[in-house]
Amino acid sequence: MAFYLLHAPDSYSDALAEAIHAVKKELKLCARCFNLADAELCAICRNPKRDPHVICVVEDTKDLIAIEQTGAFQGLYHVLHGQLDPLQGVGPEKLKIEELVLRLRDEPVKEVILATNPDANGTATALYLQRRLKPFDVKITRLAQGIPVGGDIEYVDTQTLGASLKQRTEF
Amino acid sequence: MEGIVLRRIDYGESDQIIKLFLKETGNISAIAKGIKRSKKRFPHRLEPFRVYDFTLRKRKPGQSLYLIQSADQIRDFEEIKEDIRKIALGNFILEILLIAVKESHPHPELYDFVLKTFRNLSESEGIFPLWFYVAIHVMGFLGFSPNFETCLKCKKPLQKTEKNLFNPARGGLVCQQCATLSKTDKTSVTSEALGVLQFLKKASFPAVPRIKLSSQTRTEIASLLTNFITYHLERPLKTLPFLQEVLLKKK
Ligand SMILES: [Zn+2]
Ligand SMILES: [Zn+2]
Repeated sequence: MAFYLLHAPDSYSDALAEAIHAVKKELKLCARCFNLADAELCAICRNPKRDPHVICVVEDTKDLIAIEQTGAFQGLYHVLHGQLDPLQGVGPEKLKIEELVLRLRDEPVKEVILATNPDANGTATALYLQRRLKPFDVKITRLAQGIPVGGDIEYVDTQTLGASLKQRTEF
Repeated sequence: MEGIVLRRIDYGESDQIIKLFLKETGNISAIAKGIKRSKKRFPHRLEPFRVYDFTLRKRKPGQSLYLIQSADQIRDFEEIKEDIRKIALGNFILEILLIAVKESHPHPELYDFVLKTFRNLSESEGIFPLWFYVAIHVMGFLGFSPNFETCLKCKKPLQKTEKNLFNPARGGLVCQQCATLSKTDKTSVTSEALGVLQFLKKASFPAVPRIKLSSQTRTEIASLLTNFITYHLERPLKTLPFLQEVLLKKK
C-alpha cells in the first residue's frame, strides 16, 4: 500500500486520505455531489480551482477516485450511488438522478460527462440520463472507447482512463 | 451448449453466479470463476442480449450449480444496448424467463422465439407492437395462451361492436350477454384494442412493426397484458415500472 501510494499522483493519495478520514470521522455524503465528505461539502466541491462548468457523473466513489487518479479532470463530480438494474428493480428513483437534474437547473453547467461503466446496466444508465438531461442546454459526452466492454472504470489503468477522458465524445 | 445470460449476481470479490437459459436444457445456474478479475478464461464479462457457446461442467455429482469453463460469443444483438426502450423491453423478457422457465426443463421453441425477439428488437423501431406481441407469445410458449377470438362462456365469436370484458385469470374475454351474468370479469376492452390483440395473436414477426397504435390503445393493451402476466406468474414484475416509465411516460 505504502509503496503503491509512493508512486501514485498526489490527487490519488489526497482522495484516498480524505475517504479514509471521512469513514473515520463519520461517513457523510457531500450535499452537492454525494461524494464522501468530512463536511457539508466534499473537498472537491470546496476547492475553488475546480471548474464548475463540467460535471462528471460516476456510479460510485471508487470510480471517482480512479478518475481523480488520472489528474486529467478538473471539473466537479456527481456520484449516482449505483446503476440502473431493471431486473433487480433498481429504477431511476433509487439513484441520485433527481439531484443531478436539480444541479443542472441551479448550477452554471455547460457539459456533463457520463462516466458510467460500459457494461449493460451502466450503458442503460447513461442512455437514461441522456434522455432526462436532453431538455437542458448542456453538452452531453461519454468517455471515449478504450475501456473494455463489460469492464469496470475502477479497474482500468490510469493512462487509458485519462486518455478516454480527454478524447470524450458527444453522446 | 448454446444459450443466453439471464441474470448475473456478484459472488465474492471475483466470481459471478450466472443464470443461463440454454437452448437444450432450459434454465441452469452456473458459476463463472474469476470473471471479475482474470482475463484468461473470460476476456469479456458475460452480458445479456448475446448468444454464447458455453462449455459447462457439473462441479460435483448431484449438485445443481455448474461451472462455466469457457464461453465463446456467437452473436451480439448490440443495437438493443443503444436504446433505453429496447433495454427495458429486453429486461422484461429476461425476467419472464427467469421466473417461468424451470431449472433443467428444455424449451427449444421458446428459446428460438426469444432469439427472434432479440433480432427484431435490435432491428425494429416499433417497440409497442413488439412488446405486446412478445408478451402474448412468450406466455403462450409457457402454457398460458390467451384467447381473443371466442367468448369464454358461450364460445361464440366475439363481436367487436359489443362490450367485451377481459378476465386475466382465464386469459380470455366474455361477451356482453355472458358478462351481465358475471361479476368477476371487470376490464372492458375497446374494439380497437381487441382488433390489435386478435391480429397479434395470429401474426408472425415481419407483420408486427406495421401496426399503428393510438396512445389510448397502447395504454389499454399494456394494462390488460400486465394484469394477465402478473396473474399467471403470481408476482409483480420488477422490470415493469421501468418499462412503463420509458415507454408510456410523456417525455
Ligand atoms: Zn461534492
Ligand atoms: Zn358469451
